[in-house]
Amino acid sequence: MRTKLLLALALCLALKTAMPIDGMAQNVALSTNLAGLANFGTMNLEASMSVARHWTVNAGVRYNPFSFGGGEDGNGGRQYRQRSVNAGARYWPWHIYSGWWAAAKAQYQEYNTGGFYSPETREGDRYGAGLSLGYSHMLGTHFNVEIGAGLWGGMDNYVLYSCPTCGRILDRGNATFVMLNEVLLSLSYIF
Amino acid sequence: MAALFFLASSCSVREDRRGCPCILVLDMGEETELLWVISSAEELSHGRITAGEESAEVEIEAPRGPFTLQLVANGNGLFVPGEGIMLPEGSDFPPLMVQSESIDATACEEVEAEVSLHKRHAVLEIKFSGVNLQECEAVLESPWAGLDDLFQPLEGDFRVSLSPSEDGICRSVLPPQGDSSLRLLVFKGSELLGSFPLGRHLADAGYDWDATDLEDIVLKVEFLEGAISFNMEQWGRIFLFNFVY
Repeated sequence: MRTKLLLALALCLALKTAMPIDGMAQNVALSTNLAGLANFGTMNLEASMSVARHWTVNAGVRYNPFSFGGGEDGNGGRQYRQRSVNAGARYWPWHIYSGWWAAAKAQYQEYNTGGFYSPETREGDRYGAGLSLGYSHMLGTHFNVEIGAGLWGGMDNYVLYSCPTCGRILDRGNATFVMLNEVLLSLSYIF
Repeated sequence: MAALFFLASSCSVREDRRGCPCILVLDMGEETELLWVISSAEELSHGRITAGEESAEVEIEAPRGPFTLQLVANGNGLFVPGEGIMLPEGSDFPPLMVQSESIDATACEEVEAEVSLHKRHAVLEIKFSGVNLQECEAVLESPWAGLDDLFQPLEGDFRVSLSPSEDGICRSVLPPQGDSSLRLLVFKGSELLGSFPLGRHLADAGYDWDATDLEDIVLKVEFLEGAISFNMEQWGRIFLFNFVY
Protein backbone atom coordinates (compact mmCIF):
# COMPACT_ATOMS: atom_id res chain seq x y z
CA MET A 1 0.00 0.00 0.00
CA ARG A 2 2.74 2.40 1.00
CA THR A 3 4.78 1.45 -2.07
CA LYS A 4 1.84 2.16 -4.38
CA LEU A 5 1.24 5.53 -2.78
CA LEU A 6 4.90 6.44 -3.25
CA LEU A 7 4.76 5.32 -6.90
CA ALA A 8 1.68 7.45 -7.50
CA LEU A 9 3.32 10.47 -6.00
CA ALA A 10 6.49 9.82 -7.98
CA LEU A 11 4.47 9.71 -11.19
CA CYS A 12 2.86 13.04 -10.40
CA LEU A 13 6.22 14.56 -9.54
CA ALA A 14 7.66 13.35 -12.84
CA LEU A 15 4.79 14.92 -14.75
CA LYS A 16 5.14 18.16 -12.85
CA THR A 17 8.85 18.23 -13.63
CA ALA A 18 8.12 17.61 -17.30
CA MET A 19 5.66 20.46 -17.54
CA PRO A 20 7.09 23.25 -19.65
CA ILE A 21 7.78 26.70 -18.26
CA ASP A 22 6.43 29.70 -20.13
CA GLY A 23 7.99 30.00 -23.55
CA MET A 24 8.88 26.35 -24.02
CA ALA A 25 7.20 24.16 -26.65
CA GLN A 26 4.33 22.03 -25.44
CA ASN A 27 5.63 18.55 -24.66
CA VAL A 28 3.31 17.04 -22.02
CA ALA A 29 -0.35 16.17 -22.29
CA LEU A 30 -3.10 14.53 -20.28
CA SER A 31 -6.13 13.00 -21.94
CA THR A 32 -9.26 11.10 -21.07
CA ASN A 33 -11.35 9.04 -23.44
CA LEU A 34 -15.00 10.09 -23.30
CA ALA A 35 -16.00 7.01 -25.27
CA GLY A 36 -14.34 4.94 -22.57
CA LEU A 37 -16.42 6.65 -19.91
CA ALA A 38 -19.51 5.79 -21.92
CA ASN A 39 -18.34 2.17 -21.95
CA PHE A 40 -20.04 1.16 -18.69
CA GLY A 41 -18.28 3.99 -16.86
CA THR A 42 -14.68 3.02 -17.45
CA MET A 43 -12.51 5.71 -15.88
CA ASN A 44 -9.36 6.35 -17.82
CA LEU A 45 -6.44 8.70 -18.02
CA GLU A 46 -3.40 8.86 -20.21
CA ALA A 47 -0.29 10.97 -19.89
CA SER A 48 2.05 11.57 -22.79
CA MET A 49 5.31 13.36 -23.32
CA SER A 50 7.24 14.34 -26.41
CA VAL A 51 10.63 12.76 -26.85
CA ALA A 52 11.41 13.85 -30.41
CA ARG A 53 10.00 15.98 -33.19
CA HIS A 54 7.58 13.27 -34.35
CA TRP A 55 7.40 10.99 -31.34
CA THR A 56 5.61 10.96 -28.05
CA VAL A 57 5.59 8.31 -25.37
CA ASN A 58 2.57 7.64 -23.21
CA ALA A 59 1.29 5.70 -20.26
CA GLY A 60 -2.29 5.18 -19.27
CA VAL A 61 -4.63 3.51 -16.82
CA ARG A 62 -8.23 2.36 -17.00
CA TYR A 63 -10.42 1.35 -14.10
CA ASN A 64 -13.97 0.07 -14.02
CA PRO A 65 -15.23 -1.55 -10.81
CA PHE A 66 -18.94 -1.23 -11.62
CA SER A 67 -21.74 -3.76 -12.06
CA PHE A 68 -25.19 -2.86 -13.28
CA GLY A 69 -28.61 -4.32 -12.77
CA GLY A 70 -27.72 -7.12 -10.36
CA GLY A 71 -30.15 -8.70 -7.89
CA GLU A 72 -29.73 -8.84 -4.13
CA ASP A 73 -27.48 -11.84 -4.46
CA GLY A 74 -25.39 -10.05 -7.04
CA ASN A 75 -26.46 -12.37 -9.81
CA GLY A 76 -28.10 -11.18 -13.00
CA GLY A 77 -25.89 -8.09 -13.29
CA ARG A 78 -24.02 -6.87 -16.30
CA GLN A 79 -20.46 -5.82 -15.94
CA TYR A 80 -17.49 -4.84 -17.98
CA ARG A 81 -15.08 -4.48 -15.11
CA GLN A 82 -11.43 -3.98 -15.76
CA ARG A 83 -8.28 -2.40 -14.60
CA SER A 84 -5.50 -1.99 -17.07
CA VAL A 85 -2.22 -0.23 -17.54
CA ASN A 86 -0.47 0.45 -20.80
CA ALA A 87 2.61 2.12 -22.12
CA GLY A 88 3.53 2.94 -25.67
CA ALA A 89 4.60 5.42 -28.27
CA ARG A 90 2.96 7.50 -30.99
CA TYR A 91 4.31 8.61 -34.28
CA TRP A 92 3.07 11.98 -35.57
CA PRO A 93 3.86 12.38 -39.29
CA TRP A 94 3.25 16.13 -39.25
CA HIS A 95 3.77 17.50 -35.75
CA ILE A 96 3.27 16.13 -32.27
CA TYR A 97 -0.19 16.65 -30.84
CA SER A 98 -1.51 17.62 -34.23
CA GLY A 99 -3.04 15.71 -37.14
CA TRP A 100 -2.79 12.01 -37.90
CA TRP A 101 -0.95 9.62 -35.69
CA ALA A 102 -0.14 5.93 -35.36
CA ALA A 103 0.56 4.27 -32.07
CA ALA A 104 1.76 1.04 -30.53
CA LYS A 105 1.50 0.01 -26.95
CA ALA A 106 2.00 -2.83 -24.51
CA GLN A 107 -0.85 -3.48 -22.15
CA TYR A 108 -1.87 -5.55 -19.14
CA GLN A 109 -5.54 -5.92 -18.27
CA GLU A 110 -7.34 -7.63 -15.39
CA TYR A 111 -10.97 -8.09 -16.33
CA ASN A 112 -14.31 -9.40 -15.11
CA THR A 113 -17.04 -9.31 -17.73
CA GLY A 114 -20.35 -10.96 -18.29
CA GLY A 115 -24.08 -10.95 -17.75
CA PHE A 116 -24.89 -9.57 -21.17
CA TYR A 117 -26.29 -12.62 -22.99
CA SER A 118 -26.28 -15.07 -20.09
CA PRO A 119 -25.24 -15.13 -16.43
CA GLU A 120 -21.84 -16.53 -17.45
CA THR A 121 -18.94 -14.38 -16.31
CA ARG A 122 -15.37 -14.45 -17.46
CA GLU A 123 -12.46 -13.28 -15.33
CA GLY A 124 -8.85 -13.22 -16.18
CA ASP A 125 -5.63 -11.46 -17.08
CA ARG A 126 -4.66 -10.34 -20.56
CA TYR A 127 -1.15 -9.46 -21.63
CA GLY A 128 -0.47 -8.11 -25.05
CA ALA A 129 0.33 -5.41 -27.49
CA GLY A 130 -1.76 -3.24 -29.72
CA LEU A 131 -1.82 -0.86 -32.63
CA SER A 132 -4.05 2.14 -33.12
CA LEU A 133 -4.65 4.96 -35.57
CA GLY A 134 -6.24 8.32 -35.06
CA TYR A 135 -6.47 12.00 -35.67
CA SER A 136 -5.93 14.86 -33.27
CA HIS A 137 -7.71 18.14 -33.85
CA MET A 138 -6.69 21.33 -32.07
CA LEU A 139 -9.56 23.06 -30.32
CA GLY A 140 -7.37 25.74 -28.80
CA THR A 141 -3.94 26.47 -27.44
CA HIS A 142 -4.13 23.77 -24.83
CA PHE A 143 -7.08 21.55 -25.84
CA ASN A 144 -7.28 18.84 -28.45
CA VAL A 145 -9.97 16.39 -29.37
CA GLU A 146 -8.90 13.02 -30.72
CA ILE A 147 -10.66 10.30 -32.60
CA GLY A 148 -9.25 6.90 -33.30
CA ALA A 149 -9.46 3.19 -32.80
CA GLY A 150 -7.14 0.36 -31.96
CA LEU A 151 -6.80 -3.38 -31.76
CA TRP A 152 -4.73 -5.47 -29.46
CA GLY A 153 -3.81 -9.08 -29.10
CA GLY A 154 -1.90 -11.37 -26.83
CA MET A 155 -2.45 -14.04 -24.23
CA ASP A 156 -5.56 -14.40 -22.08
CA ASN A 157 -5.45 -16.43 -18.86
CA TYR A 158 -9.13 -16.86 -18.05
CA VAL A 159 -11.73 -18.59 -15.90
CA LEU A 160 -15.36 -18.85 -17.03
CA TYR A 161 -17.97 -19.00 -14.26
CA SER A 162 -21.64 -19.89 -14.53
CA CYS A 163 -22.71 -16.67 -12.80
CA PRO A 164 -21.24 -13.30 -11.71
CA THR A 165 -20.91 -13.94 -7.99
CA CYS A 166 -20.81 -17.62 -7.18
CA GLY A 167 -21.00 -20.61 -9.43
CA ARG A 168 -19.30 -23.46 -11.02
CA ILE A 169 -16.28 -23.09 -13.19
CA LEU A 170 -17.38 -23.89 -16.70
CA ASP A 171 -14.01 -23.48 -18.34
CA ARG A 172 -10.51 -22.24 -17.62
CA GLY A 173 -7.29 -21.98 -19.48
CA ASN A 174 -5.03 -19.88 -21.65
CA ALA A 175 -5.98 -18.58 -25.04
CA THR A 176 -4.68 -16.12 -27.57
CA PHE A 177 -6.89 -13.21 -28.46
CA VAL A 178 -7.24 -10.34 -30.88
CA MET A 179 -9.85 -7.78 -30.04
CA LEU A 180 -10.88 -4.16 -30.17
CA ASN A 181 -8.84 -2.28 -27.61
CA GLU A 182 -10.25 1.19 -27.81
CA VAL A 183 -12.54 3.53 -29.66
CA LEU A 184 -11.28 7.01 -29.04
CA LEU A 185 -13.18 10.21 -28.57
CA SER A 186 -10.67 11.84 -26.28
CA LEU A 187 -10.20 15.21 -24.77
CA SER A 188 -6.59 16.23 -24.24
CA TYR A 189 -5.00 19.02 -22.29
CA ILE A 190 -1.57 19.94 -23.52
CA PHE A 191 0.55 21.76 -21.02
CA MET B 1 -3.91 11.05 -11.88
CA ALA B 2 -2.30 9.80 -8.69
CA ALA B 3 -5.68 8.86 -7.26
CA LEU B 4 -6.65 6.91 -10.37
CA PHE B 5 -3.31 5.13 -10.51
CA PHE B 6 -3.48 4.34 -6.83
CA LEU B 7 -7.07 3.12 -7.08
CA ALA B 8 -6.43 1.03 -10.15
CA SER B 9 -3.38 -0.58 -8.62
CA SER B 10 -5.11 -1.43 -5.36
CA CYS B 11 -8.59 -2.66 -6.12
CA SER B 12 -8.96 -5.89 -8.02
CA VAL B 13 -12.02 -6.18 -10.26
CA ARG B 14 -12.22 -9.91 -9.70
CA GLU B 15 -15.11 -11.31 -7.69
CA ASP B 16 -14.17 -12.65 -4.27
CA ARG B 17 -15.49 -16.16 -4.52
CA ARG B 18 -13.74 -17.63 -1.52
CA GLY B 19 -17.02 -17.74 0.39
CA CYS B 20 -18.96 -19.38 -2.41
CA PRO B 21 -20.42 -22.78 -1.74
CA CYS B 22 -19.07 -25.86 -3.37
CA ILE B 23 -21.31 -27.86 -5.69
CA LEU B 24 -21.82 -31.46 -4.60
CA VAL B 25 -22.73 -33.66 -7.56
CA LEU B 26 -24.51 -36.75 -6.31
CA ASP B 27 -24.94 -39.80 -8.52
CA MET B 28 -28.16 -41.29 -7.20
CA GLY B 29 -27.80 -44.56 -9.09
CA GLU B 30 -30.98 -46.58 -8.66
CA GLU B 31 -32.37 -44.44 -5.87
CA THR B 32 -35.29 -42.17 -6.68
CA GLU B 33 -35.67 -40.06 -3.56
CA LEU B 34 -33.34 -39.32 -0.66
CA LEU B 35 -33.04 -37.13 2.40
CA TRP B 36 -29.64 -35.47 2.53
CA VAL B 37 -27.92 -33.86 5.49
CA ILE B 38 -24.70 -31.87 5.27
CA SER B 39 -23.01 -30.95 8.50
CA SER B 40 -19.84 -28.99 8.99
CA ALA B 41 -18.32 -27.06 11.85
CA GLU B 42 -20.35 -23.97 10.94
CA GLU B 43 -23.70 -25.20 9.67
CA LEU B 44 -26.22 -27.98 9.26
CA SER B 45 -28.29 -28.10 6.11
CA HIS B 46 -30.69 -30.69 4.79
CA GLY B 47 -33.23 -31.30 2.09
CA ARG B 48 -34.85 -33.85 -0.16
CA ILE B 49 -33.65 -34.75 -3.61
CA THR B 50 -35.33 -36.65 -6.38
CA ALA B 51 -33.54 -38.23 -9.31
CA GLY B 52 -34.35 -36.58 -12.60
CA GLU B 53 -35.92 -38.36 -15.52
CA GLU B 54 -32.91 -37.91 -17.76
CA SER B 55 -30.03 -38.01 -15.35
CA ALA B 56 -29.31 -39.71 -12.05
CA GLU B 57 -27.02 -36.83 -11.04
CA VAL B 58 -28.31 -34.22 -8.65
CA GLU B 59 -26.53 -31.05 -7.52
CA ILE B 60 -26.51 -29.74 -3.96
CA GLU B 61 -24.81 -26.66 -2.53
CA ALA B 62 -22.25 -27.63 0.07
CA PRO B 63 -19.88 -25.60 2.23
CA ARG B 64 -16.27 -25.03 1.28
CA GLY B 65 -14.14 -27.07 3.58
CA PRO B 66 -14.59 -30.43 5.28
CA PHE B 67 -18.12 -31.66 5.89
CA THR B 68 -20.07 -34.85 6.53
CA LEU B 69 -22.63 -36.00 4.01
CA GLN B 70 -25.44 -38.21 5.25
CA LEU B 71 -28.04 -39.79 3.02
CA VAL B 72 -31.21 -41.44 4.29
CA ALA B 73 -33.82 -43.46 2.44
CA ASN B 74 -37.01 -45.15 3.67
CA GLY B 75 -37.05 -43.16 6.90
CA ASN B 76 -40.84 -42.80 6.64
CA GLY B 77 -40.54 -39.23 7.86
CA LEU B 78 -39.13 -40.28 11.23
CA PHE B 79 -35.53 -39.22 10.67
CA VAL B 80 -34.84 -35.71 12.02
CA PRO B 81 -31.67 -34.09 10.62
CA GLY B 82 -29.21 -33.45 13.40
CA GLU B 83 -31.13 -35.66 15.81
CA GLY B 84 -31.78 -39.09 14.28
CA ILE B 85 -34.78 -41.34 14.85
CA MET B 86 -36.63 -42.09 18.07
CA LEU B 87 -39.45 -44.55 17.56
CA PRO B 88 -42.90 -43.84 18.88
CA GLU B 89 -43.96 -46.43 21.42
CA GLY B 90 -45.28 -49.60 19.84
CA SER B 91 -43.92 -48.84 16.38
CA ASP B 92 -41.72 -50.87 14.16
CA PHE B 93 -38.47 -49.37 13.01
CA PRO B 94 -38.56 -48.07 9.42
CA PRO B 95 -36.63 -50.05 6.77
CA LEU B 96 -33.84 -47.50 6.96
CA MET B 97 -31.05 -47.30 4.41
CA VAL B 98 -28.25 -44.84 5.17
CA GLN B 99 -24.91 -43.57 4.02
CA SER B 100 -22.39 -41.38 5.77
CA GLU B 101 -19.11 -40.09 4.42
CA SER B 102 -16.66 -37.31 5.04
CA ILE B 103 -15.87 -35.01 2.15
CA ASP B 104 -13.25 -32.29 1.97
CA ALA B 105 -14.23 -29.52 -0.43
CA THR B 106 -11.65 -27.01 0.75
CA ALA B 107 -9.90 -26.31 -2.51
CA CYS B 108 -12.47 -27.08 -5.16
CA GLU B 109 -15.57 -25.69 -6.80
CA GLU B 110 -17.18 -29.10 -7.28
CA VAL B 111 -17.02 -32.50 -5.64
CA GLU B 112 -18.63 -35.77 -6.64
CA ALA B 113 -20.14 -38.50 -4.53
CA GLU B 114 -21.91 -41.72 -5.35
CA VAL B 115 -24.95 -43.01 -3.51
CA SER B 116 -24.24 -46.36 -1.91
CA LEU B 117 -26.72 -46.93 0.89
CA HIS B 118 -26.27 -49.46 3.66
CA LYS B 119 -28.93 -51.42 5.48
CA ARG B 120 -29.39 -50.01 8.94
CA HIS B 121 -32.28 -52.20 10.02
CA ALA B 122 -32.85 -55.90 10.54
CA VAL B 123 -36.05 -57.66 9.54
CA LEU B 124 -36.91 -60.32 12.09
CA GLU B 125 -39.18 -63.12 10.84
CA ILE B 126 -40.56 -65.52 13.39
CA LYS B 127 -42.58 -68.56 12.46
CA PHE B 128 -44.36 -69.87 15.51
CA SER B 129 -45.61 -73.39 15.76
CA GLY B 130 -47.24 -75.33 18.55
CA VAL B 131 -48.86 -72.23 19.97
CA ASN B 132 -52.07 -70.45 19.28
CA LEU B 133 -51.16 -66.84 18.77
CA GLN B 134 -54.82 -66.00 19.12
CA GLU B 135 -54.50 -67.04 22.75
CA CYS B 136 -50.95 -65.86 23.24
CA GLU B 137 -49.15 -62.63 22.51
CA ALA B 138 -45.56 -62.42 21.40
CA VAL B 139 -43.79 -59.17 22.19
CA LEU B 140 -40.34 -57.93 21.28
CA GLU B 141 -38.69 -55.71 23.84
CA SER B 142 -35.41 -53.84 23.79
CA PRO B 143 -33.79 -50.80 25.42
CA TRP B 144 -32.69 -49.62 21.96
CA ALA B 145 -35.41 -47.72 20.11
CA GLY B 146 -33.73 -45.49 17.59
CA LEU B 147 -30.65 -44.08 15.96
CA ASP B 148 -28.75 -40.93 16.76
CA ASP B 149 -27.60 -38.42 14.15
CA LEU B 150 -24.50 -40.53 13.54
CA PHE B 151 -26.65 -43.60 12.81
CA GLN B 152 -25.61 -45.26 16.08
CA PRO B 153 -28.07 -47.08 18.39
CA LEU B 154 -30.08 -44.78 20.61
CA GLU B 155 -31.52 -45.85 23.92
CA GLY B 156 -35.27 -45.90 24.29
CA ASP B 157 -38.22 -48.18 24.93
CA PHE B 158 -38.73 -50.50 21.98
CA ARG B 159 -41.77 -52.71 22.46
CA VAL B 160 -43.63 -54.25 19.57
CA SER B 161 -46.42 -56.80 19.64
CA LEU B 162 -46.04 -59.41 16.91
CA SER B 163 -48.98 -60.36 14.75
CA PRO B 164 -48.88 -63.11 12.17
CA SER B 165 -49.47 -62.13 8.58
CA GLU B 166 -51.46 -64.21 6.12
CA ASP B 167 -48.56 -66.60 5.68
CA GLY B 168 -48.45 -67.19 9.42
CA ILE B 169 -45.11 -65.44 9.85
CA CYS B 170 -44.62 -62.63 12.35
CA ARG B 171 -42.40 -59.86 11.10
CA SER B 172 -40.84 -56.90 12.79
CA VAL B 173 -38.22 -54.40 11.67
CA LEU B 174 -35.64 -53.99 14.41
CA PRO B 175 -33.45 -50.95 15.04
CA PRO B 176 -29.72 -51.59 15.44
CA GLN B 177 -29.00 -52.86 18.92
CA GLY B 178 -26.29 -51.52 21.18
CA ASP B 179 -26.06 -54.74 23.20
CA SER B 180 -27.60 -58.18 23.57
CA SER B 181 -30.63 -57.20 25.61
CA LEU B 182 -33.28 -57.84 22.94
CA ARG B 183 -35.92 -60.13 24.43
CA LEU B 184 -38.89 -62.09 23.11
CA LEU B 185 -41.75 -62.22 25.59
CA VAL B 186 -44.68 -64.60 25.29
CA PHE B 187 -47.84 -63.78 27.22
CA LYS B 188 -51.00 -65.72 27.69
CA GLY B 189 -53.46 -63.08 28.61
CA SER B 190 -51.66 -61.03 31.18
CA GLU B 191 -49.52 -63.93 32.32
CA LEU B 192 -45.92 -63.95 31.15
CA LEU B 193 -45.16 -67.42 29.88
CA GLY B 194 -41.53 -66.81 29.09
CA SER B 195 -38.93 -64.15 28.51
CA PHE B 196 -36.34 -65.33 26.03
CA PRO B 197 -32.95 -63.64 25.66
CA LEU B 198 -33.15 -63.37 21.91
CA GLY B 199 -30.36 -60.80 21.74
CA ARG B 200 -27.94 -62.97 23.68
CA HIS B 201 -28.58 -65.93 21.45
CA LEU B 202 -28.19 -63.84 18.34
CA ALA B 203 -24.83 -62.75 19.69
CA ASP B 204 -23.88 -66.34 20.48
CA ALA B 205 -24.86 -67.27 16.94
CA GLY B 206 -22.49 -64.65 15.61
CA TYR B 207 -24.89 -61.89 14.65
CA ASP B 208 -22.98 -58.61 14.27
CA TRP B 209 -24.97 -55.44 15.02
CA ASP B 210 -21.92 -53.39 14.00
CA ALA B 211 -21.89 -54.77 10.47
CA THR B 212 -22.06 -52.26 7.62
CA ASP B 213 -25.24 -53.93 6.32
CA LEU B 214 -27.37 -55.67 8.96
CA GLU B 215 -28.50 -59.19 8.17
CA ASP B 216 -32.15 -60.18 8.37
CA ILE B 217 -33.01 -62.78 11.00
CA VAL B 218 -35.19 -65.83 10.45
CA LEU B 219 -36.34 -67.70 13.53
CA LYS B 220 -38.52 -70.73 14.01
CA VAL B 221 -40.05 -70.92 17.45
CA GLU B 222 -41.64 -74.23 18.27
CA PHE B 223 -43.59 -74.75 21.46
CA LEU B 224 -43.04 -78.33 22.59
CA GLU B 225 -44.23 -80.17 25.65
CA GLY B 226 -42.53 -78.33 28.49
CA ALA B 227 -39.95 -76.75 26.26
CA ILE B 228 -39.58 -74.24 23.50
CA SER B 229 -37.19 -74.52 20.62
CA PHE B 230 -35.51 -71.56 18.86
CA ASN B 231 -34.15 -72.56 15.49
CA MET B 232 -31.78 -70.10 13.81
CA GLU B 233 -31.19 -72.02 10.62
CA GLN B 234 -29.04 -69.39 8.94
CA TRP B 235 -26.46 -69.85 11.68
CA GLY B 236 -27.16 -73.54 12.25
CA ARG B 237 -28.11 -72.99 15.86
CA ILE B 238 -30.97 -74.45 17.87
CA PHE B 239 -31.71 -73.42 21.43
CA LEU B 240 -34.02 -75.23 23.81
CA PHE B 241 -35.69 -73.65 26.79
CA ASN B 242 -37.68 -75.38 29.44
CA PHE B 243 -40.83 -73.63 30.57
CA VAL B 244 -44.26 -74.29 31.88
CA TYR B 245 -46.99 -73.72 29.30
